[in-house]
Amino acid sequence: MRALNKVRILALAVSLIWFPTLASAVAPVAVFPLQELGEGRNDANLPFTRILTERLTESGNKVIGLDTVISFMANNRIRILGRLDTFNISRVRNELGAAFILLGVVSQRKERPEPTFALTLSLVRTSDARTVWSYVGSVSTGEDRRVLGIGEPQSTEELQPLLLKEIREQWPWRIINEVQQSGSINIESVLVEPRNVRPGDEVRCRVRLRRNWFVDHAPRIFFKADKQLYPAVLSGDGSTYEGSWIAGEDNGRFPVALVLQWPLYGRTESTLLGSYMVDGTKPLLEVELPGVKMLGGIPVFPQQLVIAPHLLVRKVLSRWRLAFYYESGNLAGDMNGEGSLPKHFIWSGNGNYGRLEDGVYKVEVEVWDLAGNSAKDSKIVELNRSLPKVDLAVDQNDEGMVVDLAVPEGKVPLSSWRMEMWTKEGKILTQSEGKELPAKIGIKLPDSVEGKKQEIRGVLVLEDILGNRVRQKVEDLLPKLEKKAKEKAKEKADEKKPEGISESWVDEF
Amino acid sequence: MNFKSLLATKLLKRSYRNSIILLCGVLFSGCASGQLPLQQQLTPLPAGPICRIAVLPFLNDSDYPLADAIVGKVFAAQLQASGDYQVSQEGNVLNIYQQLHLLPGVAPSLEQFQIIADRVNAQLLITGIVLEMQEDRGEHGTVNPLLVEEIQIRDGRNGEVLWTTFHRRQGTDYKKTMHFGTIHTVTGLSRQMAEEIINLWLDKGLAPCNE
Repeated sequence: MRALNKVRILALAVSLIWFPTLASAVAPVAVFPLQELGEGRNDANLPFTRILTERLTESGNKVIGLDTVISFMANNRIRILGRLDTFNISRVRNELGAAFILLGVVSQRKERPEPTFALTLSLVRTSDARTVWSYVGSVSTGEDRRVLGIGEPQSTEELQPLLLKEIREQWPWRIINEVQQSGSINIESVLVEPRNVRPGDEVRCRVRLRRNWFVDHAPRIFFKADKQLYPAVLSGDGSTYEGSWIAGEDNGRFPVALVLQWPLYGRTESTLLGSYMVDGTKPLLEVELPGVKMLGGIPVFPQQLVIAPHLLVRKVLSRWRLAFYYESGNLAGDMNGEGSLPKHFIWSGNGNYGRLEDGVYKVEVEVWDLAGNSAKDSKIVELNRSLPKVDLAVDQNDEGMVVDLAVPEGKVPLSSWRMEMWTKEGKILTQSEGKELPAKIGIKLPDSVEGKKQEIRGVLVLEDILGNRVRQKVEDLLPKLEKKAKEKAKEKADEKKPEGISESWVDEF
Repeated sequence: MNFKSLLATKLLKRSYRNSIILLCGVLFSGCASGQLPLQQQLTPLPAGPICRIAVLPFLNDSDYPLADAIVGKVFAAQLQASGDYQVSQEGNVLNIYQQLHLLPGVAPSLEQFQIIADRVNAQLLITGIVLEMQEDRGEHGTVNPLLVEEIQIRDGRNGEVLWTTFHRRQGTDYKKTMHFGTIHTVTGLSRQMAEEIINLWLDKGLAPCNE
């Protein structure tokens, strides 16, 4: 029970807090000047109409001002009070935006012989021109007699509050709350473009309206953005309004509203159409080449290059471009994409027209955000697909022979090498390996078999620092060794000749 | 002033209403001593639900200025409130009166009733005559209003009278104890009498609109 009471108190508090909001959301009521049946059929009782309007407003109704209604009547030449035809009811709905019209007649208002005040009210729903609520009230001093006559009303002015109280008690809140606030803005289609712009870019808006006002009472139409009004121009089709403006310097999201103004009635209606984002900041882009080997201060890759672009500040992208340029600056290849960047690209050294030669290239990534701000970053890389190579020299020494391994000049350094040599019969002569070159490997030559030297064969496995790996056979080294020995012997023989004497010169001489 | 003497006065005062009042006399003389309002059903109501009703301007046969306007507006309001009927907008009805060159105080012909009903798309037409309206002096300087009226329900298809109801009241008829209950205004009396007539109609078979 206590919990139930708490809930009730909470509900009451919430309803009290929200009452003004709820009240402002009710459908608007246009109170027309009350007709007074006095001397004639078409007198007006404006003072009581104003009081009635005020009381209805105080009780939470959204009431269209009496001055606005009178302007409307003047503009539409409505001279008869107390009633409206369907055509004018429709006009009230379209031009004043009223969901209901309160019409009424003060049927009696006289001081003698007995102060009397009486009226009839009709609430007309403008959407279907149907009277949805009626009220007939009358009061006289004779009907409001009180004990000992204390506080009895003495005049029609003092009787009016009694009727106002009764009207307030009988006011059809349920019917009014059932009706959604009607507006004159009936949108068929709307387009705000572009949705993302840079400062200074043009923003365009186009809206197609189902016009429900009369041509002679057409409103002035504007687009409102960033607290500014921009006129909407009616296009040839008679129902599409277009406008454009320049986006301001400030970054941020700016709502766009459609504003309809009827200066004649001092009435303005607006509705939100959409929004656009102004963004003047460029994306912050950085390109990395993870895992790439540096050689001579430049990234070198043999087969595949991993290109990892990163946005330093997270941002939605509209498109991107990856391009490769020759050292000369000419385009070698490119590709484009929409939306976000891939986590990484893998470049296999191909261009727009196929496989590219080894060489130096520029890798460039460019991105555009939704507003069109662009940023790019690039890296210089070298494509090097050449296989590892060593210079192999053979020399003879006392024990056998020495194999001299060295990396030719300009080649990529090796990360490892391995050499194995064996005789024709399969006897291992050497198994050497290392990480650096040059290196000398001594090999003890096998004994001759039946006076004939045995063949020596082997394999050399090389891997450079880029990961290129090659395995090459080493042919019989003995012929090389013999050739080398002959060359050496010849050189020795040449050394015994006197110095400074050229054979050729002597012959010629 | 009783009903019969009122009729007699009327017969002398208004020559062009003679036929109507005579009809009333004939219709209600047999039950004048019965309870008011007095109703005569000449023809049954059209079959099917009835929602669209037009209240035409009432005629004023009394000396009270604008009695027709007071009673007519009050009756239309009570009719809308009582049965939730779709009562045609008075503005629409009067536009047609203008187009038909019908002057105030002149009853339309049957053909014109038919045109009006067709134009406002009404199934039934309500017409009325204020036979008498006056504000007599009551006790302690108060007003004792009197109203005599006759209301007709007409068929929108041909304008003919289906039901006719006669009613007569004065403010003191509603007096309960001391001065309590007495009605002091013609508007209040019109409302009370309209309510009684409509309740009678509802009792007699006029169904409320459910649309």
